Amino acid sequence: MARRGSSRFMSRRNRMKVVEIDMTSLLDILTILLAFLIHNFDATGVVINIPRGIVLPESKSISVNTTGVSIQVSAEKIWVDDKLVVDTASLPERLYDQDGRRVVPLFDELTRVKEQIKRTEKASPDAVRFSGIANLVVDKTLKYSYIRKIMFTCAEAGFKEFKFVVRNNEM
Amino acid sequence: MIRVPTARRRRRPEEKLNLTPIMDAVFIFIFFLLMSANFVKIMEIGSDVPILSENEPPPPEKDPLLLQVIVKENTIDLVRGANSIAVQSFTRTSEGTYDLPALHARLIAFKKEYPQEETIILTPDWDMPYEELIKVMDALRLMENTDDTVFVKGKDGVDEKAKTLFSKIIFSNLMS
Repeated sequence: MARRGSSRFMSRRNRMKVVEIDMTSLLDILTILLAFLIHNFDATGVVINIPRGIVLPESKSISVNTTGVSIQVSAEKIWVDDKLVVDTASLPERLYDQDGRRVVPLFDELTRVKEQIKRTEKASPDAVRFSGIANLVVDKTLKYSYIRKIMFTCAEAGFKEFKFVVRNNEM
Repeated sequence: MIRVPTARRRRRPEEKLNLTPIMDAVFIFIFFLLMSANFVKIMEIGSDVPILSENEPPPPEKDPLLLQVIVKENTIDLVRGANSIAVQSFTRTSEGTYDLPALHARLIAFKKEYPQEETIILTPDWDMPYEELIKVMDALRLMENTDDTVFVKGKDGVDEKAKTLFSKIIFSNLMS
């Protein structure tokens, strides 16, 4: 038997009020966030870590970063892809060779990384190829005489292209 | 027995969640965070390793530019050609900085003369800080909006505005 809408049921339905939420402010926030995130979105996909102790120099360059092996150099330490290879607190017995032009631990690590990439290249046709690009993340206070040693070491290890990572000051 | 709805129930006020104040507060908070955040743009400057070869060099072009910038403690020397002919020397300004605007203006004059040339040789001073080196490289590489317009031949042979000055910087004293 179909239930007829009685005044009793109608009144119960009327009592179940839907709580209305004002979404206007929330949408305002989301719109601003979205606009801001799109503006600051970096499509290159290159992640470069800047360790503590490194302050990048400012530049007007607008060239976007390229994938490569990162060599991070502070006044006291050198890292290769975030792996510490030189620390002034515990210097190795032989830090330089080739008349003080080549940094030995850095050369060894770069050679190892290069060989590893080349081995992966052979193992899979879809693997990332060795580009020979060295991303130099260098502290702005360091002198050219020291940076030259880093660059010379990279060149000796088979990295034929340098990318000086800088901070853009005009965007 | 059916209970008759009482008048007391009907009098109960409608419950509505008022989110406006908290939304306003969150809105201001996010706006403040975004404005005070420091979004750093990381870019790069490229440079190739100079190639050392024992082979015979190719036959020289007619009057090659071969621009070279030699940075010394107090001056920047601009030389050109295979015989390193001195073009101009730029001394430090009264503020103690290198006179990069003057160097940049001179390079633009060369770019107008040799629009297709992209390579420049840089010889930095040993004690030069990296920050200063980057500033010199910027002066060599980039065209500013306020610079004179230089037209270069594009890939399809049509003249187009040059976006860079001498973008291929080679360090001369790197491998020596």
